[in-house]
Amino acid sequence: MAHRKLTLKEKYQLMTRGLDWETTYQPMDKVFPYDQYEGIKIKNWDKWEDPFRLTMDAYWKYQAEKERKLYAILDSFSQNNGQLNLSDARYLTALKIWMQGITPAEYNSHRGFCMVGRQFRGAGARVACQMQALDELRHAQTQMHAFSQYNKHFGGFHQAMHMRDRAWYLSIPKSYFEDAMTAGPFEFVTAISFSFEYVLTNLLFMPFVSGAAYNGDMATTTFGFSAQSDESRHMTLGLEVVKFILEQHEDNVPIMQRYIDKWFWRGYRLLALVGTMMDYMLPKKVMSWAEAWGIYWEENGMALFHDLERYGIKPPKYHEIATLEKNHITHQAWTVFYTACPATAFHAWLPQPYELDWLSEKYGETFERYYRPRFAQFAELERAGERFYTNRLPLVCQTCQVPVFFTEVNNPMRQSVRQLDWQGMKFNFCSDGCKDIFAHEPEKFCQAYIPPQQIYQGNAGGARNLQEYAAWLKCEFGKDSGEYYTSEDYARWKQWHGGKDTTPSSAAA
Amino acid sequence: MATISIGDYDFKPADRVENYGGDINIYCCWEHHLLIPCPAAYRLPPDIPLIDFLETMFRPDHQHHPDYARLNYHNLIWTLDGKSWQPKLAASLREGGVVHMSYLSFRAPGLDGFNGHGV
Amino acid sequence: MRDKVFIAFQQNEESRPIIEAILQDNPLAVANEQPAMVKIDAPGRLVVRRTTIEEKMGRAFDLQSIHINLISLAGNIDETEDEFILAWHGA
Repeated sequence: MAHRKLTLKEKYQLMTRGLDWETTYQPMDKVFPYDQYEGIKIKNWDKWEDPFRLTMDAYWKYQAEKERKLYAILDSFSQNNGQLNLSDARYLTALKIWMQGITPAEYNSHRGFCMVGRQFRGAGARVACQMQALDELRHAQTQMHAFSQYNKHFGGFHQAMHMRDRAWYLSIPKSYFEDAMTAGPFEFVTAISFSFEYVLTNLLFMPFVSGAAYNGDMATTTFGFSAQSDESRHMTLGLEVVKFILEQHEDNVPIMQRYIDKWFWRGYRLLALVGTMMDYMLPKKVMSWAEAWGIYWEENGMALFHDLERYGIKPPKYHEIATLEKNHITHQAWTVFYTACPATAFHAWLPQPYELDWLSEKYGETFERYYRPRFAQFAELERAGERFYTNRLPLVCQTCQVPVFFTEVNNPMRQSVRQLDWQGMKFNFCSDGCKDIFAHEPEKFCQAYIPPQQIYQGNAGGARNLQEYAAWLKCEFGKDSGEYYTSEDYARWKQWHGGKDTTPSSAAA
Repeated sequence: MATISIGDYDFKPADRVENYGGDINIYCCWEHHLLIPCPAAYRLPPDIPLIDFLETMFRPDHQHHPDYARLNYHNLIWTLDGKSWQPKLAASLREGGVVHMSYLSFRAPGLDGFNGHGV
Repeated sequence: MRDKVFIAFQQNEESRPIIEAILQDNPLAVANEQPAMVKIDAPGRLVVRRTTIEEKMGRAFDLQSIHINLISLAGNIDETEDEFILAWHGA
């Protein structure tokens, strides 16, 4: 008898169902103790379906092909000294932040999906988690491989995992993923698969990776797009997970709404770092943060939430505030990077004249009124030989761990600080969004490892000031940190270009 | 609300005052002076007089700013933990009601940063 | 105006016939070219049809292999051997 080729749906059914069994020595609830305590009710795990209907055999086939393509290009990149093709070495600050902040997050995401894959009792869900855990590990590894070529020639790439556990700006992505990993499995998938992957990663990967291509970074473009092809599968799963949970029981709706509210806001705060990449670190510009927010949140994100209305899900709380802040946060964050860069593993600088004009074009009156004068003042100090660095530790939000540089939406000259008393102690926040998140789980967030507090308590290698703290991070001023235009990176770049300054003079390629 | 968990969930705050060896951690911000973009954190003894805090800790962070020379400690408009505050400069922070993790901010009338730009 | 769905691909030789097929099968779709990528937006619904891609390529094509050059998408997905459909189901 000839074998008929299975349809995609049949193959998916056969390879993701009936792989598990009802336990008899121990009750199922004891074998899977984590998938009920959040209050999410699942009546039928078989309703979980991956719309791509990807099975393990097809997964290996396509992943192998992606890896072959990727490594062919990475080999070519390093053999041909591809780092020389960059638009400008300032661009590398974006890669350093990626290496230090995003790559370890990919690894944590891998760990998280390994855990959640064990915690869910539905076989379809476990297969999906297994694939995603492998994807995330692949992302962490390929990124480290791609960056290793840069590590041969530039500062700041040398100790990503060491810095991740110590650097103030890296505690932001670290705490995001650790908050998710220490929640229940349904909250984890809502946080990572839905809020981060579906709602927010387009803002990270699409303009930025496209920007890497625009700035001549073949290695990053290649791993970025290779990873993004996995992300599109993760995003799809994120949406299906949310729909699956919402369809299982009406009691799940308010729990999911809270998860969506919390993780939208946490993700949005994390993306303040990404916005500065687009507006300040790409010498050749692709689109502004405000434009990306308009496309990927105001247009695409709202389309998603219109679709979810039928389940009784509303757009995430405070999303209007995020939209009101879109013309401000990147300039504010870059001011922090500019003034605090000696205590980081990257370089910062003042925007060049062509960039100030580009920012004025993109942000209009807001930039002209509040931010161009700020950079003009910094420039004046530089001309006077007093390049400004801050020497003082900042107030950091207890929830998102971002230094509180955000301002009130109705007053861009006044920092937005919120406070809450809990069990006789005060906690400080950057926003109502972060204060609400704390208020719901104070027992969890009171434990947060807030870098300035840890330094003051003597837990940062005994560092008493920012210089000692930078040494504890293993960052050397001028080599890994501080002003770009007096750095070793800049000197080397100039030397490679016959002693000429090759800073671009226009935003276009 | 309380954190949902599968077992007992009781942890002490990481930054409780006992971890500061008798000191407290406070935050202070000079509004409309975003050269230092975030409110700053200070570890200090709670019995330090406000004037000493301003002279020994706040001053080194801000004295390079052209507005600093015109700063008059006697006419600052203060808030403490979100409420209007009229401190005595000679009184200690503790006597003024400042506690661990308090947030102090002030405005100096007429001083709004370089050329009034809030920086 | 219905909310837009989108699909984005790497700009390369493998994607070119796929993009051409999508634009042919979805008259309302608009391709936005950005460095190294193409993002295709369409109101409400977008279909990727295997047979049209095969005509453009002149060879058999496994629809699942669009994964290799896919960058991102938005919309609910329904995939079979013959069609890959993106749609919003809401109002």
